[in-house]
Amino acid sequence: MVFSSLIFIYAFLPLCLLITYLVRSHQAKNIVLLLFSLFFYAWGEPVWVVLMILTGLFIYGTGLKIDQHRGTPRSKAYLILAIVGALASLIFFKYAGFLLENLNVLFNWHLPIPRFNLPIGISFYTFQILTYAIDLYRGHAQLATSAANLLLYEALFPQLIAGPIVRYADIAEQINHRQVTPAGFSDGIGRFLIGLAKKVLIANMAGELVAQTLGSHLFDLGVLDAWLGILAYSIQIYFDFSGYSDMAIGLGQMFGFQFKENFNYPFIAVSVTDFWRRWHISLGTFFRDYVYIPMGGSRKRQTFNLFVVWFLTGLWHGASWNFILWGLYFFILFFLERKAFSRLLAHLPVMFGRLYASICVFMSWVLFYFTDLDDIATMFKLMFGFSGQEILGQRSEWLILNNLPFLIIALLASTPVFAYLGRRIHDKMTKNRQHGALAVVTISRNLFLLFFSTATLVGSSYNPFLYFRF
Amino acid sequence: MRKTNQVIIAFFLIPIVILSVLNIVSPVQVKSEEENRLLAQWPTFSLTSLFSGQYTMDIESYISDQFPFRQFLVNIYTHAVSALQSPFQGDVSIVVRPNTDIGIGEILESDITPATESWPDTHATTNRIAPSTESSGVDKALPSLDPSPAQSSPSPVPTQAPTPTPTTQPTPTDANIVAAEDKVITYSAVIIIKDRAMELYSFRSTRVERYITLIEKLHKLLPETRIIDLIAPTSVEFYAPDKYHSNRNSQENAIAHVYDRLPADIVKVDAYNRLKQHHQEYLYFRTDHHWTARGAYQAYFAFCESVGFDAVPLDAMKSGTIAGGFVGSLYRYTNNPILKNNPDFVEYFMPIVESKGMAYQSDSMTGGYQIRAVYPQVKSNNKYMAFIGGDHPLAHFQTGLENNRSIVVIKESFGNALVPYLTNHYRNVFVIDPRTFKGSLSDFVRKHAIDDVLITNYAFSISSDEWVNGFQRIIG
Repeated sequence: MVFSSLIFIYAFLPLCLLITYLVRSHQAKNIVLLLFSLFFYAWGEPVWVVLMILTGLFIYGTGLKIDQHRGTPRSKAYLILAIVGALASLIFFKYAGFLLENLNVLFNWHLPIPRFNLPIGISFYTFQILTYAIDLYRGHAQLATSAANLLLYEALFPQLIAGPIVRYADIAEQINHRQVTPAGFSDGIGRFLIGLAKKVLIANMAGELVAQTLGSHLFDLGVLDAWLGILAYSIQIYFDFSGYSDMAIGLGQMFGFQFKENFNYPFIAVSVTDFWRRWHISLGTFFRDYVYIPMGGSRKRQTFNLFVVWFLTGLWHGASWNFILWGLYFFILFFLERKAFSRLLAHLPVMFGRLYASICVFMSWVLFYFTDLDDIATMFKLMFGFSGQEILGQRSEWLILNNLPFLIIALLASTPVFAYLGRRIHDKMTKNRQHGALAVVTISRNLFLLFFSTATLVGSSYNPFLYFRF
Repeated sequence: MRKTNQVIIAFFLIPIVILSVLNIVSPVQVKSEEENRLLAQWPTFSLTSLFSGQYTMDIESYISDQFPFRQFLVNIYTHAVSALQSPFQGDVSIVVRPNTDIGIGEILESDITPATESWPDTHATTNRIAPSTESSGVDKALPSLDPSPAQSSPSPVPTQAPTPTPTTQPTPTDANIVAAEDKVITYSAVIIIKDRAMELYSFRSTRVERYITLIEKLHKLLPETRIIDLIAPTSVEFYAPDKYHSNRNSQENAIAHVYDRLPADIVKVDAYNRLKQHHQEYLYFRTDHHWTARGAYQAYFAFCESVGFDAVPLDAMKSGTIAGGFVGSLYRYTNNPILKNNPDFVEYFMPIVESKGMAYQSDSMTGGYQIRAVYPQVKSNNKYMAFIGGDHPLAHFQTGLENNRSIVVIKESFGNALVPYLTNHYRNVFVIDPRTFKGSLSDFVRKHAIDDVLITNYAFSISSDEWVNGFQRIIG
């Protein structure tokens, strides 16, 4: 199930809130949340839900051993077992096909390529549950109080499918003790609805535009269509992903959990390094704390360590060479910034850094969108006028005119402008003790977002069958 | 503070709960008139569908199809999108949809009212010559395709949205999901100017290559038969600003390209200029992608000039208007209220020669059902069905003419409005829709001693895979 669906908003969420509200004891609330979370996952993944449960139980079991043998080499052996076991399942389900394809090409073998669908969210929950085993070993986290509690952490539906990657150490306390306050709940509502609108009103609309441009044959496009398509894709991926994180954080608040921020206006970054401090923060810090630093960080072989981290960052996003290229592209930029650019940028006006970072990030989406390397080459040729295609394609003019207002709104929404205005209104009204008026403003905003998101979800199911064939 | 927060929470939960409850208690709708499709129903449970994920997907379709105030919300959405698009477009608005084949075939529903007053003889005649399973003539002509109890219908009616809606779309965060998919989705676009909607056209020569090659092949297979090609433009050519029908968007150029490439002894009908000269008349529907009977008449006139017939003057034919307004495919495509509030009307012109019509599923010409060249009354929403009753795999009109001339018309739905005029000139008019016809065209032509083969299309269908695939299949 996804949050941005009618069934989630109008069936799952109210039921889940009602039942967790009705049951009294904390333990019962946890059980209810766990059952709802498993149902949430099984809704979209009725088979692989078993894999998620098994992964959780496996890590719980190895965790017991890690704790039991604390201080001895056996503890480390169990940690290695936990890591190898969890990664083996990730590699098997996500990367087996990719690995075999490459082996076949490399050695001219003919190994059969397994074809099964990637279990939803496996990249997220595997990393997430690993933080428990590692932090437990390191003494940063306590032993989970029960298998059910660890499963609840792994499967907790607000952050299950698309992050943020929540560390066990960060919410262990909240699993056992948390409180839902009216203030937290109403904040959570606002946050959830903003995330919903980002996903439904902006990301999905941008996705339509992506499909109308990049979704056609590249040789049908004009140069401008290609740029428009990548711009729309940048908007889609940011609003989709950060909208999902907002919804996760908001839902967490409704149930009394505090998750860390995952995005911080990445499109206003002043350098590529800065972009990665603002984009998918929980992934960047995961690689920093669980890969880069253990490998030696900046103390030894720094360039190699950075290379590995960026290679893995790319690969984490998908089992395909284009994602690896995408990661390595950032490795090069990161490396150059460390060596020279950052000092240069520091001397230039901040707008220059923003422009530079935007262009770099913008180009990276070409690598991210096209999984086929030939398509990437074709796309770059097209974008820079080396393919002999016209500047304006058949539909460029009206595609741009049709979508210009939307693009302007979306780009504005990717900056802190709206949040700033919201805070100004909030602060001013609080200062003047206009609590009633502030509530009216908040309620209007919430109803506006809910209404238009619902209308869009229903409206996009409008699917005229132009001729009935009875 | 606590109080205000509780009010904020209430204003979130109450609307959600109300809609959830309404969703459960409101009666289940079977069909959406606006979308012209059956709405999703609660799926039947099976372990297979559960484990494949189909069951839960069907439930999601059910919820969005049966959502309370669905059409209202759809209209809000359409209005909001068009308001958002309008600032730089003026009074022109453009609606884009994926994979919608506007010209997909349709067969007459069983609700055609037999003509009583305006066309007295044919009803009886048809019954005499064609032993139909139904004694009542035209009614219930297609019992197996009866639309009424929608769920039990075995026909391939989509009971749910064929394309995934964003409701069920995965988030792109498992990146390989959102990244470029293998399948290229084609988009069609409809432009609305004031109260007229028109599908936008774009031409690529490679997309008509197969059409040309197939006609050449047919010509080689049937050297003795006169082959006539008639490609009609659509309304965007005459009623939209120049930029929407010039250069690569020009149907005039596209038609000229095809005609230039066809062998010299194939007759090419210049319907384009005839329609252009008369474009001030009501030649095309504003809410539907078809031409009107008047539009088809201009093409018929050009056809007669090309093959050397005297066209029957329009005012020599008995005419009338079909009761009830007509809001067609382009309204459903755009869901634009201006179109709904300004419906079209459907005129018809009765051929001066009477004919008996039968439609068949296959070239064996058995088990047919009766049809007419023109139905003066149509109960169905799709009033364009007035012309030969829609897209039959094979239709045959027999007239009392002594000339012994026979023609076979290879067409899609545009041809339906043209066929009635042809019955003024031939003893036998056969009509084949290659999308559904099964059999060999050249065998058919030899078997029925056909003199003329007319291939008639509108500019979009000559590059439509569905139509051209069918055309290829019947040519072999």
